[in-house]
Amino acid sequence: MVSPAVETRELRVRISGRDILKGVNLRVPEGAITAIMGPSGSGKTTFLKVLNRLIELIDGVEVSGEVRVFGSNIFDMDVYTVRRMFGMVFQNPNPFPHMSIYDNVAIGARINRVARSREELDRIVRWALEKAMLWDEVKNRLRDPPWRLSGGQQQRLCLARALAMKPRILLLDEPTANIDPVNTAKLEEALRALRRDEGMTILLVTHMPHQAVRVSDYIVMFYDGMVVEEGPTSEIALNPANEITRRFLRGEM
Amino acid sequence: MTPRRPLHDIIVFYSLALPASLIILILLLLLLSQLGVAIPVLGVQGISTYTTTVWRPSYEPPQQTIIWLPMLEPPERGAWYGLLPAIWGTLVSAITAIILGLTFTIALVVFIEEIAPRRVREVFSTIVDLMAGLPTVLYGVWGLAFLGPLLHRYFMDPVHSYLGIIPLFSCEPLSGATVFTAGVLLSIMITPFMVALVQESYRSIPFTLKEAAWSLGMTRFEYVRLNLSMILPSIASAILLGFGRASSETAAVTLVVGNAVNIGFCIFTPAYTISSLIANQFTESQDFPYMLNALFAGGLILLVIGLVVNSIGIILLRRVRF
Amino acid sequence: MDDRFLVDRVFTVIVVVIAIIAILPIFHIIAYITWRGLPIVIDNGLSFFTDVPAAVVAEKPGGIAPALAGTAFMTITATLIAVPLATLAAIFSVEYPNHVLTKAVRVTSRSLLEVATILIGMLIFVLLVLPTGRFTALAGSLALAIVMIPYVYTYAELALISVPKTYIEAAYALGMKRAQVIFYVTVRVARRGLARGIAIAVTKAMGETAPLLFTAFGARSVIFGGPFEPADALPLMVFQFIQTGYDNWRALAWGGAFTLLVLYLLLFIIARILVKEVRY
Repeated sequence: MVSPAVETRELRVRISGRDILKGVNLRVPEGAITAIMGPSGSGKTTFLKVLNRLIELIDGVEVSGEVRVFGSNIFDMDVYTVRRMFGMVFQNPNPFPHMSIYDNVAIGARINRVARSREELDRIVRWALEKAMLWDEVKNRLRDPPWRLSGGQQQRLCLARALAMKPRILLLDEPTANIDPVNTAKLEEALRALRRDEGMTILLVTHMPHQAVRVSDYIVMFYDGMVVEEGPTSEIALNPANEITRRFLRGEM
Repeated sequence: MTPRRPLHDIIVFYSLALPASLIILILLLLLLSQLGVAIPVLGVQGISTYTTTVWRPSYEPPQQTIIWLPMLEPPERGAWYGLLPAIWGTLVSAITAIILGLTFTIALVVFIEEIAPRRVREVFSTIVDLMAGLPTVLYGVWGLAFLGPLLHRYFMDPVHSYLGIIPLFSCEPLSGATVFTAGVLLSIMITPFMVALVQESYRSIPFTLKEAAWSLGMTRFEYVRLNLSMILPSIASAILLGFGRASSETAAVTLVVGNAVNIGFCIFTPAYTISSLIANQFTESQDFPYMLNALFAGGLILLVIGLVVNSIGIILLRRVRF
Repeated sequence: MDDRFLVDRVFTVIVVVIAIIAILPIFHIIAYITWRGLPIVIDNGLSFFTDVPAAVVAEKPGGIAPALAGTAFMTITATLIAVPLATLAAIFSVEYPNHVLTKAVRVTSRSLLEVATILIGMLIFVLLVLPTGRFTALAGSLALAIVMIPYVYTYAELALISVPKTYIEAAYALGMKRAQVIFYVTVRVARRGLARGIAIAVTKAMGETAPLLFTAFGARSVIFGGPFEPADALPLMVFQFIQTGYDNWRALAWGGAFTLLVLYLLLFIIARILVKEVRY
């Protein structure tokens, strides 16, 4: 395994007294797509939200253990600096309803001061939309409100928004859970291209075994707040060592 | 492990906490100002300020009385400011308003929720909203010029002639400006407010319960009666909050209540309410010793009644849970 | 036929009749005020809105310009005071929902909503009029601002709380700081709900009489003397002039009542339009 982008040690999360993560030790490789699989309630989403410290928005959360991103402990850093290292796409498309398509993408770049001029901002917006494979569909309607787009297009818009902030790591929380197969394929294609062309580190939470197998380089299997198995996708898909992983891959969960 | 809070968050917290605290400060100041200005007169007239019926402005200040001893008759000499008639007028007009207003409210809620077709329902809801926000002075001028004379001629006079033997109607109505008129006008004004409260809980009755009622073969009357019995706390709450509204209304009441120091069981007489007394006497009150303080003593009781009634009302409202 | 069904019939009829009686007054009020007020506005034409009230012995009533100017000044300044204050407080409640201050502000706001507005006038009288020794337009503005605050707060909190959490998460995930999330996302997404609350509060402030009695006090001889002079207001003028014995002043009161009614109906319609479902 190459040097890790994210490394957790004994990561535990309790939310209002309930243990959600029960000691996660994990190394996420840089420049690869890592799929996090597991049934619902296994702590996958919580794990993602700990990484960019979005979990702290919830009241009554206790986090313990260590999370290092590119070597630095995120709990020693300013929370906003941590969040700016990650781009995130959520389970349901959530483009800002009061902003145009253009502004939805540009806001990420603006907040993080990625662009220094109007032209540069335009370039970044275009780049992000192209990378999200949405440019051709929206280039003539950049001023439209986002809710005129289909759900699948909205989700790719959210991907573009996350890319525009030039994150070092991309987090996706079951991004295709509510999207039709055609749009799912496009999004998966976009992710593969990002890894190939940009060397992006991607963490993809999914509850669909097929997606994990199709897209990822590595698979991590979560169950009941713990990692039960991890390894290269080729190995795990063909020959899972753990009974839970086997059942999950067979679609029995 | 509690992560450090960034300085930014701390700044945001305090710049939002400041305006929030300011709102609390306003209520405190409201209470303090009423209490502060009322204290001098309470120090001289004591509890009797609220138990006596004489309102006697004079340049000679009121005579000192034992402040914790409630008297019924004030000292013979000097000024005296007894608030009982205004308190009584407030109670009588507000209770009249509640009795009528509750009737209107129940009828409107039942009509809107159970009888009216969809279209009519929306029209009625809009009208109720329209009534709720109308500037109260407009109710007042209408009450003064139209409702008062109308009630005088077609209701109070005949009722007094035929039922004058009943104490409630025993006094001869001299004009339309009476505590009864104020009550009727207030009932119209508080109805939309009470409708909103009762309607909200009526709608919160789960559909399965309604289905169950229908499945028992109930008639509409029986069904509505059952539904209303399920939301009794919110009806009680509407009564209390409606009472709070009615007792605190000023402009409209002042125009129709007649503004006279009167106390008795007859409702066809001109009277004062606390708020109309304040509105009417405030300007000249600064010329007489302790009179302004007495008006603030009235404001104080109005504030306390309002806060207590509203708190109970809101607690009751929370008890309707399905 | 069963007795039960007879009872049911009678019940339905009674309910319908009382419901109709309950809403009849508003129609009559609108018609009656129009009937009494509109002719006066028409008779006096534009001067009704641009003149000061005539002397009581005059034949013509003059105009309601001081009331219009005062209402405009005090409503606008009250809005400028109340809206930022109450909105920031509402943001506090939504951002820190479990903080003790949030609970305190909610209770306070509910109480202020129900407090007799004449008491607010008395508060400003004690705080501002007594110390400075004069009734002022600004004192009226402050009193109206306090009337507005609980309305703005209540509706703002409702609007802000119903902003879907997913947008807020997305904003934080982009690295926005708390203040940026609040002003670029939360407040913007809730803008229609906020506007509606403001419209309702302005309606309330514009129609209030009692808080102005001992603060702005009323003014007749000049249209607007400035923030540090007494000022008139539409409801205040109606309230005071309708009680006078002078025909020409009562005419002004009726014309003013009609003007106030029209303004109210306009604001009511604006607030209605803002209610139309927000698209997220």
